[in-house]
Order: sequence, then structure tokens, then C-alpha cells
Amino acid sequence: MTEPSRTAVEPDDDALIARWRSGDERAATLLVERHATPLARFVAGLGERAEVEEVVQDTFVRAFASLDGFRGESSLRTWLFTIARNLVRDRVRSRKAKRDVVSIEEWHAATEHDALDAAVADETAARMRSAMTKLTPMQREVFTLRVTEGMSYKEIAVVVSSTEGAARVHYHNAMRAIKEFLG
Amino acid sequence: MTDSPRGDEMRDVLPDLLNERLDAVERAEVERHVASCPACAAELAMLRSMRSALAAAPRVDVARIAAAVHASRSASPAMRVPNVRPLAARRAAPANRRIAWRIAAAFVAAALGVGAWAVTHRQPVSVTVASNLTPPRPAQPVVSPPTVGATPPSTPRQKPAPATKTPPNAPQMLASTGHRGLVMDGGVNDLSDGDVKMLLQSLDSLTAIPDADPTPMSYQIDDDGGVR
Repeated sequence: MTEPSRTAVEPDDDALIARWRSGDERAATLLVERHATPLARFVAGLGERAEVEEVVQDTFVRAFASLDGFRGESSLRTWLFTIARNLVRDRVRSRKAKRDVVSIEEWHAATEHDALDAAVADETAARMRSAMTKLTPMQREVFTLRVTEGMSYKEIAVVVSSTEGAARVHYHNAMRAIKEFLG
Repeated sequence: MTDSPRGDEMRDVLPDLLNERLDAVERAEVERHVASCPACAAELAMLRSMRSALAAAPRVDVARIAAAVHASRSASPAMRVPNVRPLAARRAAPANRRIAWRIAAAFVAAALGVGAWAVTHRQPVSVTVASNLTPPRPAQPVVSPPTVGATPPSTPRQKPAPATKTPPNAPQMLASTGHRGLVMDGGVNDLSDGDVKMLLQSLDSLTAIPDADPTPMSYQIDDDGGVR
């Protein structure tokens, strides 16, 4: 299995981290440019659609503030997704504590409504998004990371604080539920 | 859908094929299988649809996020030299702190033990608890001989020391040894809060705290009842 393709002239994350540590601020900008969109997609998929940019920004600020503690045991990408997931979970918990809960199902219903209202929305895409509402939060996270972000089970296990085997089971259960929904 | 182990294995890597995470050999093998397996071909098509349906990401302002990262970095003094931990953080390391407290506890326990012994034997004693962990410093003269405990009626009372400007309970330097030491007139319980704080601060400032328990302290009783 290979890492996502990158042109030969483009420095990898480790090289950019080293440059940033030696004071090159441009390296941080390149890392943000590289990972912001996948993180935004992931965060939106977890239900934080209204505050995606805030969560993504918070993810990067926290990541760079504690980059000294980043031991490189997992990739920077995996680490960023882990931080983003934890931030989303904290927000969900905080909202529950305030009894101001917008459930993930409600969010997806809203998303579906938006999609249907949009001129460019097509029936297949809407059905696919609806299928996601049938998944548990863990299945949704694992499925999104596997299919949309192309992560391995090992990387997913790091992000969702689980095991490789459990991640694989969640993925296949998600697949089964989606197929049943789509008929 | 195929139920063969081969089919399960292939289905498992379909997301990797979709996201171009297979090397050339693996990719060719999976593509060959998909071409001959309608179930896997259908699943791959479904995954492709799911991926494109979920791919739309909300637009985020990358420049703004990068600016926030730079701003937070420059706002934090520690982040200007990322690989150097603040001195205060290092000094507050739990292990060092524990050792410092254990040394302080050893000092206090030793002082209390000697004090109790002195009271029991009713002899005029001088107690010196000198730290052998501290390098020698220029000494200041000790003006008053320290004493602990009461003087028994049968023993001739030693002449009181000349008047001193130093408060009686304040820690002092030992001129005879050249070591910075704690000289006490009275029990440790007689030390003021300020003196105890000063003692603990001086222990905290030790630069070469050994990574082990301190060696047991020994003292010697002089003929005149003094303890060294």
C-alpha cells in the first residue's frame, strides 16, 4: 500500500515540519494548504457543518502549538484527524451538557434538505448521504476515513482510538448497512 | 457477490484502489479481479458514488487558518524556540520535585531526631546539619554558637554568645567547615515560616540533585556535648 501520490518536487510532511521547527513559517502555510480541505470534509461529515472552519483552524493551532510533542509515531495527517475528531467530540459533549443538542441525524436531514434544494443536487448523491444517516457515529467516522480519505485500517485505528481489527469490523458493518439502505 | 476468501480480501482493498493507495503490482491484481467479479465491480461503483457524494468539502479560508497558526506561534514565547522547554517547566518536573521533597523531609527528620535526643539527655548540644550536596561558598562567620535543648542544672552553663544581629532562629553559614549549612538555635519547630520557606527554596535551587535517595547523614558528639 502506498501513501497518497505527491509530486517529486513537493516536500513531504516530515520535511515541512523540520523546516517549520527551524523557523520557516511558509512551511506551516504549506501544511495547512495540504490538509485543510480533507479535514474540513471530515469535520463536516461528523456533523460540525456550521463550524467547520473554526474546528479546522483550532485543529491546526493546537497541532502546531504542541508539535514538539509530536513523536512521529503516526503521520501528521493521522495526528491532525485525531485532533479534529477529539475537538468535534468535545463540542458535541459540550452541546449535550447545555441541552442544546442538534443530533447528527438532524444535521444530515438538513444536509439532505440542502442537497435536494440545490440545483446541482442529484438523486444518487442525496441517497448516498441519506445512507450515512443509518450508520452509528463510529461507523460513520470509520467509513468516511476509509472511503473518502483513503486511510488504512491502521491509521483509522489511531484516529478513532481503537484497534485495526475493530476498525475493519466497523467498516464492513457500515458497508452492510449502506447496502441494505440502498436496496 | 462472491463469498470466496479471495473475494473478501479483494473487497477489503477496494477503498485503497479507489484512493490510489496501491502500488502498481497490487493495483493490477485487484483490477484483474474486479474485471472478473461482478460483485466487486458493483461494490467499487457504489464506493465511487459514495466518495463523490461525500467529497464536497465546505470551503475554508486556508490563508486565514495559516495566519491564525502564525499568530498563535508568535504569541507564545515558548514556541519561538520550539525544542527548548522553559526552565520553569524543567524545574517543575515531578521526579526532581519528589527528590527535593524527600531531601527536605530527611533534613527535618534528622533535625527532629537530634533535637529529641538532646532533650532526652539534657546536655547542651550544638546541632549542625550541613548539606554535603552544595558546593563550598565564601563563608560568613557564625556569631552565636547554636544550641538545642535545655541546660541541666548539674552542668555548668556555657557562656552565652556575644550579641548578634542575626535573628536567633535564622539559618546561617558555618565558618568552620566552609559549607553552607543550617545552624539552628532551638528546634526545627521554632523556625519561622519564612525560614522554612528559605530552606525549601535553597533545596529547590540545588543544581545537581542526585537521581537517588540521599546518603544517610552522620553526626559526631563532641566531648563538650556538641554535635557535628
